[in-house]
Amino acid sequence: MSFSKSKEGQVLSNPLVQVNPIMVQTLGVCSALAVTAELKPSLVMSLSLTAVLTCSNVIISLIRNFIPNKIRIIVFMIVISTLVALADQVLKAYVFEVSKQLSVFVGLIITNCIVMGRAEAFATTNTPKMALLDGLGNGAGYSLVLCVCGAFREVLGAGTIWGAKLPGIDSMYAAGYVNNGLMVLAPGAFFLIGLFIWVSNTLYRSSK
Amino acid sequence: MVNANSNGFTLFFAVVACVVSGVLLSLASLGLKETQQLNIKVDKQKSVLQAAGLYQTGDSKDKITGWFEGDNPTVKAFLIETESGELHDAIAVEDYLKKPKNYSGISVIYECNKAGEESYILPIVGKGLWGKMYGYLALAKDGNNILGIRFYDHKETPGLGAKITEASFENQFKTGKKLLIEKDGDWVERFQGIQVLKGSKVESKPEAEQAYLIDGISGATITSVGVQGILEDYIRNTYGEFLKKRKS
Repeated sequence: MSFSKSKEGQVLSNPLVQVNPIMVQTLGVCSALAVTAELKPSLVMSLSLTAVLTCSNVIISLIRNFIPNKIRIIVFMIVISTLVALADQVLKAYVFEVSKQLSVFVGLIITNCIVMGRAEAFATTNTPKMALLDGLGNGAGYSLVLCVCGAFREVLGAGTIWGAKLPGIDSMYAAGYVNNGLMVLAPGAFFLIGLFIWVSNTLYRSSK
Repeated sequence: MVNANSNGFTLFFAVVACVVSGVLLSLASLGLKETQQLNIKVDKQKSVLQAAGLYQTGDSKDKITGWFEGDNPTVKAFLIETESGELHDAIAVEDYLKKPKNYSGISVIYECNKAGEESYILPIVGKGLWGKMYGYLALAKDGNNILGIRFYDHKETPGLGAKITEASFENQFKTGKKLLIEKDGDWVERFQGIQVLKGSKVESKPEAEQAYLIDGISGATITSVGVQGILEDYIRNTYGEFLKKRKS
């Protein structure tokens, strides 16, 4: 049995498209609207969320047998927010520049429902190893949507990519082309993500 | 194994979780405080230099602090009395900087004296969309010509309002903008000068007005208006009297 067909492989690769956290589970949409106006913040958010999600999944999976059912959600919250606050403190002390870049994301990561959602849906019932893979997989799925969305919005909304002007854009402006202002605003992300969901449904779930 | 769902264990677990998390966070906060504060101090100094155009990307910590050290540093902080605009030397600058909130009516200003050219760097702070925006505004000796601006701390939306720290926005303040409109050698009315506009419109305005206008950021109207508000507020209220004296 190859890795991609094994249970581990499935846990890692399914969240990429088939059960993508944003497109199918509709988790983390709020942050996907907030930070995808440009590619760069999208990528920063993707990387930090993947790191936090993986760590929180593993920790929660490690203590899963001790978490009392009645207070499990608040325990997840404690684990996640402690983790993020600690990371923030360490970054502030040793890599101040990075921490400045991330400062606006800290709140968005703590309240991101993917972290909470995967803790509740997966980490509480699976081994740390599987939880790790699930964290990485969902992080990657989230990152994929965020970065594609960020790239689209930056190109269409600002005429730039990674902060640099697109080649030939000036001659297009001269010919009367204007940037699409909607793409800069949050509703632009709504439309894009809606389109992504449509495409992924058509491709992967049409047989249903 | 204990019953994880009994009331006793639930309570026990809640207490342990809180204590562990609390201890971890306090330890991190206490242990790293000094390093963090040093970082913040250096970062503020860096922003002062950035506003004044003295910072080059990649300058080391020592080079940054070097501008502020020595018997006769290039960049020197001093205190003014807000109401009169006069120098205030009863309090040491170090004491003031530790707890600025304890001293009302007093503000700190950085004076930069590089190669005989004086300039002033004024701390500014005010409301953006999500929180306060902190920065520095650098003015030439005459208190009217803007040399640069730098926001070092803010909570604006990444990709939109956060563009206030990007070159495309900051560089506008380096192109000979002025705070106030001068007419017959006098200021017509104080602080109606600079305006932050919505969208990219400066180029379409008459040339005589362009020195007083800044393009705002599309999709970040409240941040742009916030910057304008900060400039107005600080130049009218906090530094007004001080700047008036530079003029004469």
